[in-house]
This record gives sequence, C-alpha cells and structure tokens, in this order.
Amino acid sequence: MNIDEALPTFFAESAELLREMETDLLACTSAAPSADDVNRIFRSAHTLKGSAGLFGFDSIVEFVHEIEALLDRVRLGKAVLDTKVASVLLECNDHVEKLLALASNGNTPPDPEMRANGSKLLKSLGAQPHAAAASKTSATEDAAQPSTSGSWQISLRFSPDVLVAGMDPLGFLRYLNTFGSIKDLTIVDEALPPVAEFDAQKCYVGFEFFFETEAPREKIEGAFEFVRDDCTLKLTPPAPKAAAGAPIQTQQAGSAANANQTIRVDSLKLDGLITRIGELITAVAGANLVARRSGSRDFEECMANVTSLVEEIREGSLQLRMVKIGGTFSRFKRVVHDVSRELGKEIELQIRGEDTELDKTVVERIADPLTHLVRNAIDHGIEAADVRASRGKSAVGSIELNAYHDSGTIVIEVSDDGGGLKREKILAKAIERGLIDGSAKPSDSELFNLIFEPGFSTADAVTNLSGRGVGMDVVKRNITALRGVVNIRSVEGAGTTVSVRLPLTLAIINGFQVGVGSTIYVLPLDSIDECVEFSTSEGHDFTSLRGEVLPFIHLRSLFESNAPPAKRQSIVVVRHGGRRAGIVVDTLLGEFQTVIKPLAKMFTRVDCVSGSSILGTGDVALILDVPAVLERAVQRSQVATNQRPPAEMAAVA
Amino acid sequence: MEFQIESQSGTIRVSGDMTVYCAAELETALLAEVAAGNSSLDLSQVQEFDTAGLQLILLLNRELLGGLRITACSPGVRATLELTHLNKLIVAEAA
Repeated sequence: MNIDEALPTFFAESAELLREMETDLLACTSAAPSADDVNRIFRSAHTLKGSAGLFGFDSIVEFVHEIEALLDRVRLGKAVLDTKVASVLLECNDHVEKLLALASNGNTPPDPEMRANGSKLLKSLGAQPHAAAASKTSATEDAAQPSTSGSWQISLRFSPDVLVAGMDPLGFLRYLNTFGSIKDLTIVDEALPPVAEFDAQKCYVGFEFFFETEAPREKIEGAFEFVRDDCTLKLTPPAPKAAAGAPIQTQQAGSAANANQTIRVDSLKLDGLITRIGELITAVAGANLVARRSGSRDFEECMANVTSLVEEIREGSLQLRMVKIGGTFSRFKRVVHDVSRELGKEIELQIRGEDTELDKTVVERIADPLTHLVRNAIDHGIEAADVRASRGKSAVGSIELNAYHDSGTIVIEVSDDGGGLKREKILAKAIERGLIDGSAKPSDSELFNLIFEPGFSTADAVTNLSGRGVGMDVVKRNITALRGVVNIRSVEGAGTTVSVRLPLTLAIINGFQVGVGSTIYVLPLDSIDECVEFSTSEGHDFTSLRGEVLPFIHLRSLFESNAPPAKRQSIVVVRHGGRRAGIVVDTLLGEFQTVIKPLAKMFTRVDCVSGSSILGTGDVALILDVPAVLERAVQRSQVATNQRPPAEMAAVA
Repeated sequence: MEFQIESQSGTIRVSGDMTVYCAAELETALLAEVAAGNSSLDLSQVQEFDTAGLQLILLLNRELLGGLRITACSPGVRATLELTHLNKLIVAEAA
C-alpha cells in the first residue's frame, strides 16, 4: 500500500486514540486510576507514537514519547497519576492534536509559540526539554526511559503452529539474551501429548522465566513482534509495588483481534448505498403495482418476497449508519471539565443512555448545538457555589445528559440542577419586546421557548438569563434543520431541562399512506397510535376517544382540498411528545416504505409538510409534519373551546 | 538428508540437524532406537537445534521415564540446553 494512501487512516485512528486517552484521563481526574486504566492510556500513547513514527512525524513521536515515559513511571509506581498530572496530560493531549493538525497540513513545522508551549508541557511532565527539535528519538530514548533494572517475570505460550510458520521460540529466547539475561527458566511441557498423538511439527512447550535487563518494556515486547499473533506473552515488571500479585497482562493478540471486528468504509459509499436503496424501494413499489394489476398470483407472491427482502436490506443498511451517541456524549466530559475550571465551578457530569443509536449524519450535526446547550447550562444554569449553599443545594453542580428513543425519534436531554428560568422576567421581557400580547397567558413551554428567539436576551436583561439567549436562536435553527424540535422545562430555583427531539434518520421512514380525494399523504408510521372511524358530529373540533378528549383536524380543510368528502372518513390518531390529536382523512391506504425527498427551497416555509416522496405510480405524496399538524389541531380546538368564533367553526366543519 | 542416526552400545548418535524440517522423521527414528533399548544421546555432531528438537528430547526423556542421558553435545546444543535448564541431562562426557 502506498504510504500516502494510509495517511487519512492514520489521522482518523490518531484522533480516535486521542479521544480514548482523553476519556480515560478525564476518568482519572475524578477517581484514582487503576492499573488497567493506566495501561490503557499507555497503550493508546504507545500506539500513537508507533504509527506516527511509521509516517515519519518526528515531532509527534518525540512529544508522545515523553507522555509515554511519564505513564511508564506511573506504571512502575515511580510517579502518581493524580488530578494535577491528569490535567497536564490533558493539555498534552491537546498539544498532540495540534501537532497532528500540522502534520495533516503538509507536515509544516510548529511555530515558535507552539514549540514553547510544547517544551513547557514537557517540563511539567518532568522530562528534559529538547535542545534541538529535530533530534532523533533514539537519542532521547535512553535518556528518558527510566532505568528499570530488575527481573521481569515473563510467561510465554505459543500456538501449536508457530513452528510450521517458520518461527523458533528458542530463537526469541536467544535474542532476549542479547540485551539481558534469562534466569531460572522452566519449560512448561504439560501440553506435550502421548507419543501416539505427538506431532513433531507442532509446538507444545511454553516458557516461564525471569529476565534481567535494563531495557524498557517496549523492547521486551518488541522482541516478540514477529510472533504477535502466535503467542501469549505475560510480562510482570520488576519491583512490583503495593498491588503485587496482580500481574499486568499484555494480550498481544488482543489488539489485532479488535482490529478485525470493524472495517472502515468511506461514508460517501455508504450514502451512495442508502440513496440506491431509496431508489430500489420506489422501484419495488412500482413493480408491486404492476403485479397487482396483472392479476397473476404467482407474480404477486414473488413481489411480496422481494418486498420483504428489500425491507430487511433497508433496515440493515440504515443500521450501518447508526452510531451510538455515547461517543458524542463523552466529548462533553471535556467541555464540562474545561468550562467548569474556567468558571471556578465544581460540576459533575452524569451521562445516561449512551448506547442509544442514531444516524451518523444526525450525530455529526447535533454535536455543536449540544455543546452550546451544555456550555449554557454550566455558565448560566448552575449557580455559584455560595448561592447554591444558600439555597441548600450541594456545592457540586450537576449536569445530566440523557438520550432515549421515543416513537421513532430520539430525545436528547440536557438538564442542570441550577437556578432555572425566571418566568416573570421572561414574560416581562417578551411583552416589552412585543413578542406576546400583554393580556396573553402563555403556557410555560410557550414562554420558555421564547428564549430561542434571535437576540431575545440582551446584556441588560436579567442576569440569570443573559447568555441563555445568545446563540440559542442558532441552536434552534440547527435543530429545526434536522427536522427536530426543542423544548424547555424549567422550575425556578430547581433547574432546567432542555430536550431535543430528533428523527432517527433523515433518509427513509416507514410511512402510513392516507388519502383525501385523489391525493395521497404520508404519515410517519412511528407517530401513529391507532386509526378509528370518524363519526360526524358537526361543529366539534374534538371527539371522545374512550372517554378522553381528542382534538382533531380535517386534512381536507388543512390543505383546502375541493374534492367531495368520502362517505366514510377515518381518524388517524397521532402522537408526538406526549400529546395526541386526530387527523381526519378519507381513506387509509396502509403501510409503505417511504423515501424522503427534501422539498425544494421555495417550499421550505410551507407549514405542516416535512418532505415529499415518490410513489410506485410515479405520483408525488406529501409527508406530513406531525408535530406541526398536531400543534394546529390542538390550537384550533383550544380556540374553539375558549372563544368559539363562528367563522372558525364554520371553516372547520 | 539433514540428519543421520547410528546407535552403538546404548548410545544414539545424531548427526546433522534437529529442526522442525526433519522432526517427524527424526521422531520415528529416535523412538525406534529407544524402543530398541538405547537410552543415551550423543549430540556432538548436531548442527541446527530448534524448539522441535528440544521437544523431541523432552519426549524421549518422558518415554524413558526421566532416564535419558546426553553423553555429548555440540556447543550450540549445549547453550540451548543450559538456557532451558536441561543441562542436568548431560552426563559427564568422555574427554
């Protein structure tokens, strides 16, 4: 493979490694790390160094090497990975990220400021600053490596096929003897079978021995580089500290096995696949129609098979794009760590539902708005420690991130236990700005949603609010662009929860087709509760559904259709965000897979429609925007019950 | 090809290589010699010696219930046997 082709992979993997290190290091800031934690961080650093070396990024190799050296000292019990050291390492992480950015930018050398910053960090790591930035690593290798003279306890087992593979286990022992000395070796030959089963070409023996050397761990591990996959190596470092008896295990084969479990695929290829499947679904719908018309039962049966297979393929390929939100959430550990340090607030981040999956494109585009919400919660939600104390709250503020699935959408919540929104002040502000009528009595959620208005909060606004408005309009715009909605619940003095509700995917949905006259509309199946018969009781905008009031709306009047109403109409009961409403339609056509085609720009302002889809017949169906329709239905029935203006009644009936 | 075996008054003399390449044939030959009552090994003419060779020694020693004697060995073999603490099998050689 051309080395340049591997570069993007290197950068992707390095970024991942840095992220892992960051997560682990952040864990260290809250609790003392276990040997496993330290090992994991060390391995990340080590892998990063190794691959950077492969591509000749010397500045990265040098820097990471020092991080590695420090971690090695920690591992040997010669240094402690406490909160302070972890913070320094976090900064080092950032520095490496910058170095990587430079490297990806055509390997430009770092500017003096960065170099100064780098050596400052190195000094705090307890390493010698480099005289020359370009000095070769081999020179620093010995200087920086702590001398770990002593006896390593090494346990070696080989796979039976190692001999046939052309490796001689004894050869490795001979090689070890070139930079240390093997003591007290015991051959483990329990695996040696009886003569009848003995195969002279298989390896049955293992070795246990002590190895006296000055060499660092990597060198010992390096000796077994070539048999990585064919051996199990257990290294117990010399002079074990307090936690003796728990040997540090290095599963050589482990990392190789992990690498085999995933494949990297160009996301463009994946998008291409999804688009093709979208076309396929439309094509199959067309073929189904032909099959039905042909009247051939065999043909129809075949098509039914094809349809169910296509459905499975659709599910599967959409699943390919699903990623867990945990990765995005863990980024916020860093945000919280940094911002809370900056502001001098002590804050705990709790994460729930990190296994909740959603579309990769959604994840990518939701990260920024979420960051904003989290920063806002820390900055303006959580009060200063003394205020908290006076309110009888724990001095440590709490931010919670939560994600869960709810009727075909994912809900992401950012909660804080801070001061909450001040209803009266927002109301006053809103009236002052003419956003609402002075006599209106908006509900909490209506009122709180006003803080998403552009420039709602200004510097002279209530202190507890200021900032909550800044950029919030951008947050809302981003979320709306993803066909999502955002909602705020807040109790003054107790905290605020911002919940973001997003569709799981942007491409294909299970749709339920309904007809009004000859026009077909699509409702997302996940939002439908049930379908009931519509009983005409003129003059009402609500009906009774098993004793509960159900507001409804006529699709006919919503889209001003002139077609005469069918004799029998039905109500489709839809649900969104805990509310329900009915949509009155002429015909129920059933479930169909629906490929969402975005509407042209000129239609983006059209209310109640979220997209369009091409049917098997080639006709275009509009996809209803359930939240918007629901909002309409609820509003109308409220208007009707509260004021009952005759004109409105007539229009609806 | 890579090895020859001859036995004389209880001692099996191996010349050539004791490696994975000829381990199967060597195993058959050595087991036959042991079955014929030979219990000492002369490894002074052995050139290459690897883990497969080492395993054969272990196997023979087990067959002889720990009674294997190595009467002579080449410097290479000796180094390996010392490394693996099998030099206890080496008995005083004829000078």
